[in-house]
Amino acid sequence: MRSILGWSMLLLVFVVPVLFLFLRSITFGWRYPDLFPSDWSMRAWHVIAGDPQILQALLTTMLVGITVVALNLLLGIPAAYALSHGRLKGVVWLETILFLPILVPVLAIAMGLHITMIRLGLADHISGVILIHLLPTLPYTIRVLRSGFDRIAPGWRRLGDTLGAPRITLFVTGLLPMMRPSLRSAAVLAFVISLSQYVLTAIIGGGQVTTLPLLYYPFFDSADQAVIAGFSVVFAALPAVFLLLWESLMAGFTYLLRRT
Amino acid sequence: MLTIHQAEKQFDQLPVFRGVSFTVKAGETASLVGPSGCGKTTLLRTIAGLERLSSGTMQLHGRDMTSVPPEKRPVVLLFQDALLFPHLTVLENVLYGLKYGKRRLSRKKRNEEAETMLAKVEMTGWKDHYPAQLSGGQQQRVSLARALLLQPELLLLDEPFSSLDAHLRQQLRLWVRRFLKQEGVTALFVTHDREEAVMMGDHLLVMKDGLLQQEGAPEDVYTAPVNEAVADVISDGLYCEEGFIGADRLQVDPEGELEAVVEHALYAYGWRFYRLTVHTLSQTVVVHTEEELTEGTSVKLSVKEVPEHD
Repeated sequence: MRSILGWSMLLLVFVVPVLFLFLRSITFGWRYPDLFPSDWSMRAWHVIAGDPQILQALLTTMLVGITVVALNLLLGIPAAYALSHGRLKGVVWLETILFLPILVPVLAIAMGLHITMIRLGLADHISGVILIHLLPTLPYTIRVLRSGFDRIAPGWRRLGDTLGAPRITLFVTGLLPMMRPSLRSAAVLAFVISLSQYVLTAIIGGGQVTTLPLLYYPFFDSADQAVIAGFSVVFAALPAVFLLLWESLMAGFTYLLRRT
Repeated sequence: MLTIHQAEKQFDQLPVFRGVSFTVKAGETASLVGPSGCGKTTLLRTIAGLERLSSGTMQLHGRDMTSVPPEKRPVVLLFQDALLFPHLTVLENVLYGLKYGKRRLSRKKRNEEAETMLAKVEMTGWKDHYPAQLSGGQQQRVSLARALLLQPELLLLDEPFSSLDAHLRQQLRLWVRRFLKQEGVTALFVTHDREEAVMMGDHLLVMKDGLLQQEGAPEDVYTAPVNEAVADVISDGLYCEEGFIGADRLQVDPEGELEAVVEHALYAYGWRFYRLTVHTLSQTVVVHTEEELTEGTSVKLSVKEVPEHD
């Protein structure tokens, strides 16, 4: 009974709005007080699919998002592990410093960094955008992973030592699989944050790097609600696509571990 | 055979234990008992190689192990918690050491050995289950199987039953004792529970305040502790200037010379006992008597003379 209630709530909150958006994108002149749409049309999707800029932006957005996630994990896992199990001195200070980018308005940092990036030749380039996206994502990644590592008993390292498994082997075959829920949360969070960046991408990308948000906001100027609805569906689908990719990757990883 | 000679360990200049020397014979189970904080767990970890000795040496079958890293030592430590990987099945957990650890075998060979070992620890029917589906005692048996598959020359057990309830603990320690004997494993068993120590060990080592106080056959140590510290840890009785008086020699006697206060009654093995505090010695002792005593009252104790043996 409780699970039925839970699932219906989930459906109501997450699926119905997207479904509604999708319906809106394939209807024509659906206005209050009509309960059902009167005309159906795929026009909006033709507009979206026909725009070469959108397709390009979609690819750029995925590329930026996936690279940002990869860098987040690459930097976040060791940092979080060290914070959690590393017996460091002044952990509280270190954590605060690592969390600072969230506390200081990101625009202020981006403005300052922009000049540095121009000097380094990273401005107006996709690598610069990826780098600046680490700013609003990495602090969260470290937080999420750290609490994940905190839940894992420190005894595992001793277990690895006494069984004779090298540290790195224990990490890959033991600790990371145990961290799977935290890793998933961190990855999806980083991806969604990267996906939603407008200002940072606009400043550092200088209009040369076009991600979906950069096209999305100007679209709001148009009065074509069906197209906006269609665009929103595309936007909402991206995290789902990412999650699917992530889960397949994890399943592949687990399969490999079992095979060898 | 394990030989520890003059072992000492310090943390930040503070000694955890010092001057510890003893041997454990091949095929023997030795119990190391002592109160919390006496250094026994640290000693066990240094034998496993997880901590380094500050000074002293350790030999295993005549080979010096003092500075051999833990992953190269033919020693495996069993922890308080079973530490089974939650994402792996029982069989995969048991295979872990043979796949990534000290004793790597080909896939076919390791699967065969793992199946055999699971049968020995009576867990065959559970091999495809996950650890969360097992009871605490079953988890420890799987953990034991994983350790023994590495064929350690010495198995170390760090209070492996302490997270189990009393009933299960009783069952499992009996089972483990028989199993270790049957497999001929040389083992060192650490506990703070004296009953467990006496039951598990062929040889008993008593540690307190960072020193090895006494060692010997469990019965000898129990009946003849060499000092008050050992008496306090392992024996039932009073330690006074003249030496140790076992609880079996103490009797409630109006003519007695020792004055004691009745703390409370307790019942075990079909008998009634009373816990008494002897204030002049600052010690408590549990004594059996047919008389009914009232809590808080004073009684007198006398010492029975025992006829000389032999």
